[in-house]
Amino acid sequence: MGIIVDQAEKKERRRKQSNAGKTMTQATGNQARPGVALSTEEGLSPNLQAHIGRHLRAVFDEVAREPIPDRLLQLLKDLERSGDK
Amino acid sequence: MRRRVSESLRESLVGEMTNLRAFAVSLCGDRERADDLVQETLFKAWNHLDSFREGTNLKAWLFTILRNTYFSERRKRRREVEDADGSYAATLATHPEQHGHMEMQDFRAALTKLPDDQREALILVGAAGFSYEEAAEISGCAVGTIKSRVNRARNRLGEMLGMEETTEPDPGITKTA
Repeated sequence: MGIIVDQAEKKERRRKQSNAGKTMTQATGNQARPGVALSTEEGLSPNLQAHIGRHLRAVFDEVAREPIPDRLLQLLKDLERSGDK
Repeated sequence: MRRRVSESLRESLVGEMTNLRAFAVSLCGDRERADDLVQETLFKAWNHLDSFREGTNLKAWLFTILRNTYFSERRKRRREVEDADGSYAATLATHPEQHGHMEMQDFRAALTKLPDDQREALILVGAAGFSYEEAAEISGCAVGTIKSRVNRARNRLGEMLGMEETTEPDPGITKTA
């Protein structure tokens, strides 16, 4: 009895998995363990892509948060004052 | 010749300057040079404002001017100096203001080692918030080209940082920031 239910469950799970393409599902939970990379045809796993994305944005945002240097603000003022070219 | 710049356009220009700087620094890896680039971009933009249609994508327009300036300068420089890449990578890797921990420094160093076109594509799409289509327009190439550059860039970064799927992930690198 238990075995039959088990098998039916497995079968169902297999069906779900094949429906979901290559994405894997942990039987124990729907959360992939951090640090475990999932391969995709694209190359890097979504985990690693996200990891790179975070670093990339950190590098970018670090500069974007800085105040605009005076010499650039000064240039804007000069350009405005210069009137017609 | 130049029409009077509307207040709103001026404000938008100033508003985009922080993003423009961030793009310049990530692209060329050197703050000093990045500010030169932004300065030149601003100057060019100002003098060609009549070719910009208000209401269209100012950010993309500015980014286009900046990257064109960067790449034409780089081509010029490459003709003069053989290993522009080497010296350039060195300035970035050792920038004293970049106090961030090892992980970020490694990432920055790896970023500079990417080919220019791949780094550009990755920054535009991955950090500056452009779509593949917008990035393609900015870089003057096909959407498919941008996509493949982004993919190659990610793969190269993954390799350089030892994040290949087949290898054991380095705990220092996989830890999220």
